[in-house]
Amino acid sequence: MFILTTVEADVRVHPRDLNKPPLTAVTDVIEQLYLDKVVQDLGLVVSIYDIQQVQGGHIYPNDGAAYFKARFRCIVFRPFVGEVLVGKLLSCNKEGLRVSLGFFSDVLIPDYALQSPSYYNEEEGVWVWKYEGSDMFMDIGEEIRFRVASLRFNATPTSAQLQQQAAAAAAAAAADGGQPPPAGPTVHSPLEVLGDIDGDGLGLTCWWQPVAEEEPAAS
Amino acid sequence: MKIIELNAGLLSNHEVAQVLQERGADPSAGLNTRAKASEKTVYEYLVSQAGGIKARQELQALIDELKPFGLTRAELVQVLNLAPASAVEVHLIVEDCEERLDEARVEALIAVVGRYLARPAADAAAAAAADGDAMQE
Repeated sequence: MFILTTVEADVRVHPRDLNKPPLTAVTDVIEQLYLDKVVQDLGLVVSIYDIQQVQGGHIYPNDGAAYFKARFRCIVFRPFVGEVLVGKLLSCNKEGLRVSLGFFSDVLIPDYALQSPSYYNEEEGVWVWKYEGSDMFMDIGEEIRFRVASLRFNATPTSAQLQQQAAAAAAAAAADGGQPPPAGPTVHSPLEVLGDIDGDGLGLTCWWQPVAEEEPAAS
Repeated sequence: MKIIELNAGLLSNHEVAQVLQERGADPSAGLNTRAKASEKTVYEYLVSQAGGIKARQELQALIDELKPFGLTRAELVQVLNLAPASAVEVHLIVEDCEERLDEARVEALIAVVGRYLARPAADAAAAAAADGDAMQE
């Protein structure tokens, strides 16, 4: 699920950091800018692997900062389509499941990608897979194995779009029955991984354990 | 910024965990290390999956043993990441499994993987099952 990517970027070192050795200063800035951030069409940068080249160090008039050009390699979380991953079930609603990988919580498994036939149990708020007559509940916190169907990068919304979203949410809540819209801003996910668990071996890992009990046999 | 090379290589979870460990993401390394909180979270996830970090030499030995199975690079990385312990998992990882590997080869693959990448959770479950069987008899 991780790839190594070579990136070249312009790095600006603030004047207060000019007493540090240049490599350290540049590394600190790169870590601050890239670590734990999603780069559009690339993935989630997990760590810096190495710095291959640092050039420059020019200081321009009116700006005391030093400008470098750095070439470095970073470890990026970017699962490929068809890869099988294991995560924990974070939450579910009638649109599907949300799985977390510890460091990444935006894995969505939409309702059509669940084992068929599955149905949503309204009272308990969990999905249930009807396998050969017995109900297999998908409980929160269970380990779940899924296959990556696609990656979706969402561009950061501009302030105009944010206002539109807020207005739409307020209108929808008012139409629902005069209740106030959910408090707080809706969280924007820059990277969403869409998964599917429709297949042998996919779904809760405890369903497919090779144990001689009443778990479904893999056939 | 410019992406020079999008994919300079596919990394297995073990390799990434080793890089993070060198940066000090291990909880036992203390608080004053280069690793940031996000890297520690990633390290935690990777360790919980693999049940421990395997050294490069062990991994190399495992990769050499897996060569005769003819897996593609992506499938090899997935085997290292997921440590399949059952035929179902192998079928998930290997495309066109029925055509490329027959049942005996699948069992052999699982055996090879089991020797190098025994998952503690699976071991506990297998031990419990063995105990259960013994008691029933």
